[in-house]
Amino acid sequence: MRDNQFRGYTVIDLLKDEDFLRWQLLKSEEDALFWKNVINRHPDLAPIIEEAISLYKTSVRFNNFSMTPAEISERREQLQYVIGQKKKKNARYVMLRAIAVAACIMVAILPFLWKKSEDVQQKDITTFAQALPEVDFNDTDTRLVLGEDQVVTLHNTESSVQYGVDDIVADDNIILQKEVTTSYNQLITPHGKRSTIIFSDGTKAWVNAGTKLVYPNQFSKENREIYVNGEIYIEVVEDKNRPFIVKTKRMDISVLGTKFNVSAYEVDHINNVALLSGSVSIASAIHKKDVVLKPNQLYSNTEGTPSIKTVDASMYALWTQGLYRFESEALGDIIKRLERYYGVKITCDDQAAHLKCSGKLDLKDNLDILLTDLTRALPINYLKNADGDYTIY
Amino acid sequence: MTNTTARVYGGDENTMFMEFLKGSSDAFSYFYTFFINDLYAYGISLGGSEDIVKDAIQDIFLKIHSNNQKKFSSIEHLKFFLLKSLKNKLYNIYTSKMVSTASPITEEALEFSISTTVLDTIINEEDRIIIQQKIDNLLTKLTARQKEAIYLRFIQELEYAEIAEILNMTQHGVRKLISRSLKRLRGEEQLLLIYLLKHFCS
Repeated sequence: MRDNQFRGYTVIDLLKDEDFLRWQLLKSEEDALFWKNVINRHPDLAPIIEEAISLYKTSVRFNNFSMTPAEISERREQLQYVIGQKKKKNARYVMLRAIAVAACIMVAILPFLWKKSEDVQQKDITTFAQALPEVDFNDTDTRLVLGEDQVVTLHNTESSVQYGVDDIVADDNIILQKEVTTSYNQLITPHGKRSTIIFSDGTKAWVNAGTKLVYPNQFSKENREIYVNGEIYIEVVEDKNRPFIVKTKRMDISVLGTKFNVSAYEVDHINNVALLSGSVSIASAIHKKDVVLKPNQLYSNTEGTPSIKTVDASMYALWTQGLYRFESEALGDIIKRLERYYGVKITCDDQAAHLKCSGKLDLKDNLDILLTDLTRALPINYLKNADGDYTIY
Repeated sequence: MTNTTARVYGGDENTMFMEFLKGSSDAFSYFYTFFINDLYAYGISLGGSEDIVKDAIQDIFLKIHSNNQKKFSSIEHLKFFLLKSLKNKLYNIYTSKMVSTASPITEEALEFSISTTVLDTIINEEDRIIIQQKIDNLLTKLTARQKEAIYLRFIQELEYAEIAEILNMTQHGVRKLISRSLKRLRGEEQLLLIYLLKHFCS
């Protein structure tokens, strides 16, 4: 051990010693132990080592750069000044922003204030929906269109879409909604497919084949509006402060909380609303006053002529369970439904199309079985063509 | 005398820090004065020019003021945050300058150096020069990163976790960096190398 050499060392000698300096520099445990041993062997060195440590501490500086106290206080005052200015500016900024916000609100509500007497609700969603390009309902997949460009393709025959607080679950897809701004979404269910959708308010709609549903990604605070071209059965969750409005090309149906079926295919001659429970109010260009329906009433718009009759309304929602009941309906209309439901083309000869029939069909069955059943009940025959199309004669 | 020698701040500082958390502008000025030279020295050691370092410090304090002063858990935390912010700020300034002069960005943009000063206390000038030279001799054996780690650990008394964040490495990496420095200063690394060479060449 070289600790003998420290005998007779002065404080300055220690400060020039590499081992001592390294100990001070890195404060390692190994070095600490080494010096403890030195003190043990030479107790007389203890006070000298102690003094060397304290002298090292007071004298040795690393990167001893500093600003003068005068400069520091000058800079400190500068900083305080900048902070003060910034505070003032912030206060001014907040004021300006408040004014700007108020101005924006005014500009935004001005048209509404102006046109309050006109039908405000006829605006936006209907305009938007009717401006959309025609959809090919012969597509193979159900499509969920989010905003302007995001399309989610759903392959299931019966798809389900559910709107949560900040996400959308569509079959196996989970889509996070990043946008807070209101935009319209579309659920396009082609022929041969069905889907269900649950909106963020809990309202559930069963969407029949060949239907386009347009709705905002977020309902507004005043109302809940959706636009339908096709058929839906809907169970609206009651919200007294926000009426639910189902808009279609030929009528608008306003409700608070009810169950009803809307068949409003734009291509169809007959559109109707069947009320299962609650109450709905229907506005249409074909009548001046709104029509209020009672449960088990069917409102029909047959080529511009309105009519109301009492029915078993639940019949009109049977399709949601894969059943189809009809009473004295034209075969042509029944075939049209089957075409949509199965996503096939069925041509029906004119004479057969006018046949009236009543009955029940299980839509879960294969179309061939179903048509065979029909040929037994009616004086008709059917052919399955090579391309998968059907002909009824 | 272990490796854990975190500085304990006095009662005055702790009282001031409570005020600082409440957003007091007196306490803000107090800590400005308290830390400004640590920051200045660190900035210069990283190779920053005086003016740039001074401006960077002002910016950092301004930012702390406009953000939430409440977020600091301790004086040590505040100090760490200041040192780290200064380095980031300088790094950004110097790397963006290098881009504008079209030279490549390197890690050495902020190479740390340590210079030793022996103050004129009771030690006479001759001895002071020798002591300074001896310390410098030890330090020259270290890499820039080792110097920075040692400076932050033993001069600024930061925690390993904090140093790791500033040096952008793991805590384990920092410990290794410092223990390597010790070996270097002891000359053990060279001895080991000689031993290995002898062992494998025979």
